[in-house]
Amino acid sequence: MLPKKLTYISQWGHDPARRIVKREHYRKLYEKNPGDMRINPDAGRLIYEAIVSEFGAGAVRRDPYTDKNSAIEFPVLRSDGCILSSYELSEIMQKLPIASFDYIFIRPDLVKQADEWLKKNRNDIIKIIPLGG
Amino acid sequence: MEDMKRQTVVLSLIERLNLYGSWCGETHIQKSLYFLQEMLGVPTGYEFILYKHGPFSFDLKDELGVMRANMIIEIQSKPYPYGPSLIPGEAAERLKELYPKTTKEYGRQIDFAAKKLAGFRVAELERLATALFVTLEEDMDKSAQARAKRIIELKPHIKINEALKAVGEVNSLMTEVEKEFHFKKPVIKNP
Repeated sequence: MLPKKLTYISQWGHDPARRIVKREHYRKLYEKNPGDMRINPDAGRLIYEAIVSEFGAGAVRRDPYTDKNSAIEFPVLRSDGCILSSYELSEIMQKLPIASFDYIFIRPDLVKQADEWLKKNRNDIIKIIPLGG
Repeated sequence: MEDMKRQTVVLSLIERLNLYGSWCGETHIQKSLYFLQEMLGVPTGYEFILYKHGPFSFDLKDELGVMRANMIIEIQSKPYPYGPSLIPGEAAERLKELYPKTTKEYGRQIDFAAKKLAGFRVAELERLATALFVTLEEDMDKSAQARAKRIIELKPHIKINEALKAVGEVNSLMTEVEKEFHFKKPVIKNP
């Protein structure tokens, strides 16, 4: 029999471990897209909060990321001997898109139900409602 | 101030800078926001450090990246030797609709900062922002000469007459801010 502390730790890690071993990982339900961003730049957060309030925090995970270092800058040696910044020299370098994503995942047994629910409610969730600030 | 409210302030500043004819590159936004926060008291909460070309906030740089990714602002590239400008993006109006009170609450301060700073070039803004940085330093002798000397100590490429001019301009701006917004300015000797 395991000591009490180890039992607690093994119980705590059981659910994620089981999900990995049995391929019961959370499935993608929503990802950030330009259409929703045009309607509401805060769409990712609003959709996440709505899904959490419908299905519970334990059933939902969110993984948002935006690259912080957006400028790709390196020195360029020109034929006249001048060293200039790639960012200054190239209009394309200036306009490179920023790596940015926002995924929401749901427990596998809720995928169908959550997908239907989101399809039905998505437009209302991201509708612009002036906030208190 | 929460992130999206801060972004609303930054967006309004970009709109106003563009309206008053600023080039509106990242440096213009960095320095104008420094004035907006430190002189006009808009609580955006960005941490500024004295960097290569005067006060600079890495938090603000990151925020501009996030705003770009969320289509709130976009880059208008310019051919060499001009740097890119930042302009409102496709989702800009939506953000303002989300936070109408923020736009209204700080509208006067934003307009003031943009109107006063839009006409300056990057090198002038560097000197002005450094002059404000020095003025706000604790234990700083607030006389014009002392502040100009401190500017040169921090930025040796700036000439004394340019530093003195920048200090004078910061003093005038502070007086205007005090009159218009009833703020208390730092005690300045022999301005």
